[in-house]
Amino acid sequence: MANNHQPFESWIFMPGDLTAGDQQALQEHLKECESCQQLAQALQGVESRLRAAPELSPTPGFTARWESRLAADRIRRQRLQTYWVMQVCIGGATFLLLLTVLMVLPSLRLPMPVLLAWGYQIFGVFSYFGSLGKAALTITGTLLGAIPITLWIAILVAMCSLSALWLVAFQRLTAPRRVAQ
Amino acid sequence: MQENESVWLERVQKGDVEAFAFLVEAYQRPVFNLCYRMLGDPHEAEDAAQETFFRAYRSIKRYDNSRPFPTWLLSIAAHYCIDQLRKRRVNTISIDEHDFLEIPDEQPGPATAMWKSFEQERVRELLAELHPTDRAAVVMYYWYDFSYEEIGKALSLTLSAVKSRLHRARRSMADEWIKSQSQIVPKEREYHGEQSPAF
Repeated sequence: MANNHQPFESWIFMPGDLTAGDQQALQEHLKECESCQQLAQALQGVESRLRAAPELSPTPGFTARWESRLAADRIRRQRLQTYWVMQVCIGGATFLLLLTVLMVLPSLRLPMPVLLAWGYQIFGVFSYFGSLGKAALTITGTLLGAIPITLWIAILVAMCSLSALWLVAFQRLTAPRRVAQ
Repeated sequence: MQENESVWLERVQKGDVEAFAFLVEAYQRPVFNLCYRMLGDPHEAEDAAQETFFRAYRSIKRYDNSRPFPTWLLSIAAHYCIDQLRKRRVNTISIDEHDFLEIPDEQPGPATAMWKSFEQERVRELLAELHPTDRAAVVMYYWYDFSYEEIGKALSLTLSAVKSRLHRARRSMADEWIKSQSQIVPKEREYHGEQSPAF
């Protein structure tokens, strides 16, 4: 009998998966075989210990710690994002600076024509913005006469409402929220 | 609970962090317990439980509402713990380190507390011998009453693989039990002293 443990030895570890006939055959075998009996008792001991072991709890404040961790992760992600944006900006600025130096370097030998050209460019920019201002004034004057006063009031009220809505939304999104423990 | 859970899940899927905090509050215990049974160390279990909720929060939009939420959550926890166990061997820890764990209890005396701590250590030792995936299957089967199908889904295993792993785990634990029996009996005698005539 000592070498005839299979399939019983294997069946011991399949509780619930045996047919009624197999179960009976196993019980018969256990009555005769001390080795398998020992295994069955050991499994019984293990299972009773596992089932009796309580469900453990974390230390108090677990949810608060989770919320802190989430907040810290958000900050870390924002910082990482800022870091990469800064890196791209610095890289771009360095590239532009190098490009400018390469363009400017040859003209440094003859500074007077370059300075005159820059002065002309600056004057051109000022003239352009001056023209834009005049055009804007003309359009505004025309609109003031064309649009009735009631429509102006409606536009003003709509803008105030949208500003208030934005402020409320901003406050709700940024206000810290905690769960009562 | 079930109704509240679906309401909270709906809110979380719409981006409400506060609702997810309620889910953390509700499921912290089963998740922590699974992590502790898997890792055998309360500090690592705390980290793993935190990470589980963190991962669940990040992937909540991919959560299939037809699946029970606790099963999904415990599946994340089990996979994370299995990865952790594969990365390194679990360090042996002393019984003293278990002191701060909250074991639900009805005001035990020093002897009862000591005995429970000793029992905890025995359970931890039994689980420590198992392969990480087998250990996860055992924890899900004995603590959470998961069916073979549920364990299979949670651990991405076939039904026959679950049965095979549980069979192997039971065999391994029974062998370990027999081996340690000779060392345990003197300890039991020491803890019980003259209280029990059996010792």
